[in-house]
Amino acid sequence: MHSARTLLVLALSIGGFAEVALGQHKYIFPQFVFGGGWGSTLTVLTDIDDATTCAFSAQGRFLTMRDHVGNLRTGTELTLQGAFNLLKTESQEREHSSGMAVLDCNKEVRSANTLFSWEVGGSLVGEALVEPSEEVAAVSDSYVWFPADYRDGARFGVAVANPSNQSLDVQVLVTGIELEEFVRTIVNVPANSAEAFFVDELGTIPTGHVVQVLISPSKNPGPSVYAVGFRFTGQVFTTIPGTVFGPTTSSSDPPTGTTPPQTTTPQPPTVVEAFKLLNQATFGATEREAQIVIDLGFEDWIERQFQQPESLQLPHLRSLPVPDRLPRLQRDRRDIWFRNVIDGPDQLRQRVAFALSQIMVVAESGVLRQMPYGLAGYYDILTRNAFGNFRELMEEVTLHPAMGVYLSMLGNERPDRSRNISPDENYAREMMQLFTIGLVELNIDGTMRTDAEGQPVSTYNQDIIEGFAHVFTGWNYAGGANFNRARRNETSQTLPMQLYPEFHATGTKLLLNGVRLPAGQTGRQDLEDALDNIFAHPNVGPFVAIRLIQRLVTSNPSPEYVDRVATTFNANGEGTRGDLKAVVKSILLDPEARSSVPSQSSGKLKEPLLRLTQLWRAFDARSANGAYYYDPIDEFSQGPLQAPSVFNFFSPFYAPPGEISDAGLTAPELQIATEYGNTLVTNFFYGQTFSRHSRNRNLESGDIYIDIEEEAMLADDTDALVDRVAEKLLAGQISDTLRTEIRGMVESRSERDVAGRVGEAIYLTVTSPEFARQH
Amino acid sequence: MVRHMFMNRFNRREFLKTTGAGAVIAAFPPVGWTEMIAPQGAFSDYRALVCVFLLGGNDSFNMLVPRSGAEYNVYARSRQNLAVANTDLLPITPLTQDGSHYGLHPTMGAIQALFDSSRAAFIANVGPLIEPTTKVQYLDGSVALPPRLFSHNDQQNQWHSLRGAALTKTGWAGRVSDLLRQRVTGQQLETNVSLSGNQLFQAADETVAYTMGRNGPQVFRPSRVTALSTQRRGAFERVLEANYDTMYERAFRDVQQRALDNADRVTAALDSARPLATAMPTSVLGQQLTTVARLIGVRDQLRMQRQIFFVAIGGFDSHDNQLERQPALLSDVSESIGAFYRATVELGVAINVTTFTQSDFGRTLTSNGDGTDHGWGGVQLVVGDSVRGREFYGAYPRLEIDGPDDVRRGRLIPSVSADQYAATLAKWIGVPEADLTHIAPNLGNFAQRDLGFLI
Repeated sequence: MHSARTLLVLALSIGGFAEVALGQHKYIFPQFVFGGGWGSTLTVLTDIDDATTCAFSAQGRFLTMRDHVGNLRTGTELTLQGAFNLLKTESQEREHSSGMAVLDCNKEVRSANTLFSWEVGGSLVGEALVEPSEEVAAVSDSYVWFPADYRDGARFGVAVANPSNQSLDVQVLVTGIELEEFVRTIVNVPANSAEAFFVDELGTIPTGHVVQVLISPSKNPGPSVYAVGFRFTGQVFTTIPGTVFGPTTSSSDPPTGTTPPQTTTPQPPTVVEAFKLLNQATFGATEREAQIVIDLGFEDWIERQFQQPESLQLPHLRSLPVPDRLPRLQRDRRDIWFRNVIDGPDQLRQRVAFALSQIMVVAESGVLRQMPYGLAGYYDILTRNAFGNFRELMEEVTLHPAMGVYLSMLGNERPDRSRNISPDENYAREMMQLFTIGLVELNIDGTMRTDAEGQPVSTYNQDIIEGFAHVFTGWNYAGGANFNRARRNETSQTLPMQLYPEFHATGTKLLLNGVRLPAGQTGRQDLEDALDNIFAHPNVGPFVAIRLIQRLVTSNPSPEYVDRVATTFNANGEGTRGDLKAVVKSILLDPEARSSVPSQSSGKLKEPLLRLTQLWRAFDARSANGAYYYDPIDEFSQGPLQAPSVFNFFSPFYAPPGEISDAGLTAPELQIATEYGNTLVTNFFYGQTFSRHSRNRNLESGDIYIDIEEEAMLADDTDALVDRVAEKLLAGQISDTLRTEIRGMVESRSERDVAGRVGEAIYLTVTSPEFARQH
Repeated sequence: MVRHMFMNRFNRREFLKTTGAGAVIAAFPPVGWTEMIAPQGAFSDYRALVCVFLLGGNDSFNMLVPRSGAEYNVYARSRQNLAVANTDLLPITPLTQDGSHYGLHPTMGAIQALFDSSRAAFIANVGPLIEPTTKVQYLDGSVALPPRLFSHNDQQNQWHSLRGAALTKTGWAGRVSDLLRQRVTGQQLETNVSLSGNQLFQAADETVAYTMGRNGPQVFRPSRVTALSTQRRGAFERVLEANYDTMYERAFRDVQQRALDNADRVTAALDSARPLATAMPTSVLGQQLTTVARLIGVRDQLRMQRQIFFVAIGGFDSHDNQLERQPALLSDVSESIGAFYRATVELGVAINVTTFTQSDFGRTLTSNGDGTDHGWGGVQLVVGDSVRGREFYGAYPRLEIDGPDDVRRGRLIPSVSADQYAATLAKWIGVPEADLTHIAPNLGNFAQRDLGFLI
């Protein structure tokens, strides 16, 4: 296994713990060591003052150097050259082992990160910057939780450190998403040492799924646990920080600067409240996810979602054989999108990515039909950055060749007067209008700013568009011999576009707010400066806030709600601008999102595709061949990266004529709820509920069917059946009219017509206005 | 945000409920609300407008091109690698000559034939304007301009609404439908029908547009009527009739009810119609126009007197690969509109049906290498036996970069306003002269209220 690149995984745990204190503050690094014989360098990056002294020690069964101690001073980095010259594992059957490092300081150390790097023969082969995790104290109901991603052939491992002087028994529990148990065992970690293992070494883990791992101290009282997880794909290790639940610190020594414990315990969410959150934050509420919301509360559920492994598309497409005709892979691209949004553990991330895909729109049309890898990679950008920073998202979107093709920045060249050629304005215009700032200046609460005459103020003019058009010149597919010979292929369609300097406009460029870029900058510098210029515009916060709120929570947020979210965009708790994780949390935890007192304009109409995914999630829809080969665009007017234009499936300003328009409110989803479109959806549900279900013995292998076995058991009890369907789809909140009409239809079927009775109940529910509404 | 933007918008429906007619006329709209003063009789004839919207901004200066030496050379110099070769152009000769010769894009033979037989005309250099605009006025800012020129959705909205900077929720076809609603009696279908989704063009205060697919309405399943399906349909309808707390549910319900009400009736009428003998293209546009022709064919069953159809095709935003993309698009426009005209002849309604194009904007004369950018004025096409054909209406512009009509990069100031274009069409379908400014609010700023291209 010498192909393994990243060999060690570390966790840094912050928090004082009295029982093993040598200094006042200790930080623990459990390590995972894979392979052997490698040299390595550990660098501890700290932010410490003159009065801080730290000792650093590294220990482990397989480390050549034990108990190395060094002192850290202000501004220094502790570098242990060759300190971790690792040996082969103790047993030849195991390729990995463990170790532990301890940083022991007399004061609290802020921003302590560890950078571990590995060199072979003087060349860097891998490195990892590790974020802090938490102590799991030996108190009942205390555990650290990891999502364990076994998709795409990956494995999941854990390193556990025990810096105490007592032997530690750690309980390891591995379950499926429905809490079915795969592993329950005890792993012993001797005093002052560490242990590492893949969880599939402890029992059988079903491949191709995401399972969950809970690690807890098994003796109370007893030593605390420090653990870090990692995902290993055969090529790369990725550190997976755990999420600690239950008491995290001993009361005698609370860490400074943390929030004091809540004095009142909030009521756990009700089922209805849990469904409401889940229909905002996932691809459809399910009872099992609702139970998790109830157990954890809203905020912890969101935090746990932040930790879930990303479900991506490109690795799946890359794992498939390259077809004769690349557009055939679009079917697989949709398949993996459905798999991820139906079964993916990272529901919130997927929902936000889908929202972003409707803001920074790229669509499968024209040349992009030939670019399934490009589209999958583009979607992965949205998925990976869903909880990242908006500035980084802007840059990755701008440089992605799928966007380059879609809005013709790819191949955009500098002006050439002799040929009457001016730079293409397409990307410059749409990225400002639709992705970042919009056409008119906004107040932070999203209302329009007006000038002295009461008129809206344009954010930019034609001169500025031309300035940005000049910025976005010189980029083409990566890897070309030159600009004119840059070509699309299976690789270049997923790589960031490359700058070909001779095709970049070199003059000055007028940007927003009177900024003018100097002549002669590199294309890269121009791009960075221009994106910074847009990112700094005060519209970005309210613009992004409104669009994300509209996709997740409500068509008509109050100005106060927009203000709160935009303020979070402008500065998260630590003063960072554009932190989407903070923005998403702010959107979902806002009183307006969580209010249980509805108004006639609160909430929204569900996107039609989300009506489908909610049904599929609630009834475990699947096909015999395991795939979701279904293109929803014709019937649902939506599909992943399938908008008819850069203006998305619908406009954020759309208001249907009638009371909504008259009230000056919007309902974007109503734009595609046409007579025609709605009927197609209704008819799809007819086929789904009466034919494509688990009681049909004549299904084709590709038919995506709903599992109605549980309902079938209740089919002879009309009220129980109606209740069960209403619980699954409406959190039990069914109107009297709908109940009455379903009862009538169910009872019109004979008691032996089990599937028919169940079908009537589900059909009338999923086609009802109350199911179409998102609370 | 939007709530503030529109909160204070004048709510006409509420106003009408509580105010006398005299006050309404004084307050809104600016010119008389005819139906309230003197309701006119029902229409005894049939007329239909068919709007073909070319989404993305058709590069119409490559659709209709000057052929004369000097003018062609100016065109070729401006267009460079995107110019159509002079020898490829299909010659057309307007009855009224302006001294130049013209030609059509080589893919547009069907339109050439319609033009030559006086069944088609071009509106040269038309686009959204608030008032007549010269280059000097544009540059010194002394003239009111439509908001956010050169932006797709804003300029589409201008074509749809003609409202200038005023915030609006209605389109001019929607306002036509509202105005005429007292004069169409017993129509079994809305005046406005879209085969290409909801849009502003047909949005109205009092009437709604009915949206169907490009091949017609969708019938609720199961299509076979049984006792069970009838019972289920009843249950479905009673669920819709319930009271709903939110406007989202109510709006959704309204759509569902309209869908149920219309689908069976319209489908039954279509099924009863004799099949079209005219061969129709199978492109998306061809399919839409086929359905329009079939609907016109059953106008009597549905008791239709006035109809406005909206069809659309995309792909005209030719920022790149224009030379590869544009021929297929223009060919589709020509073949589909040509076939649709023949279908109206077959149905005996060629004089009752006027087909016209709209598009976001014309495109820049300059190239960005292999495509063009968003412009302003452009050329539109009208077809039908009511068209005074084989003519250009409005002056064909000089296609010169930095020339008299160019505000920059070959974005040409329109010489004819979209308001004049719409008013001419609206008048033909039956809007009284006095109400034309309700349809085209900027019409009063232009000397010519009727461009004269319709009989």
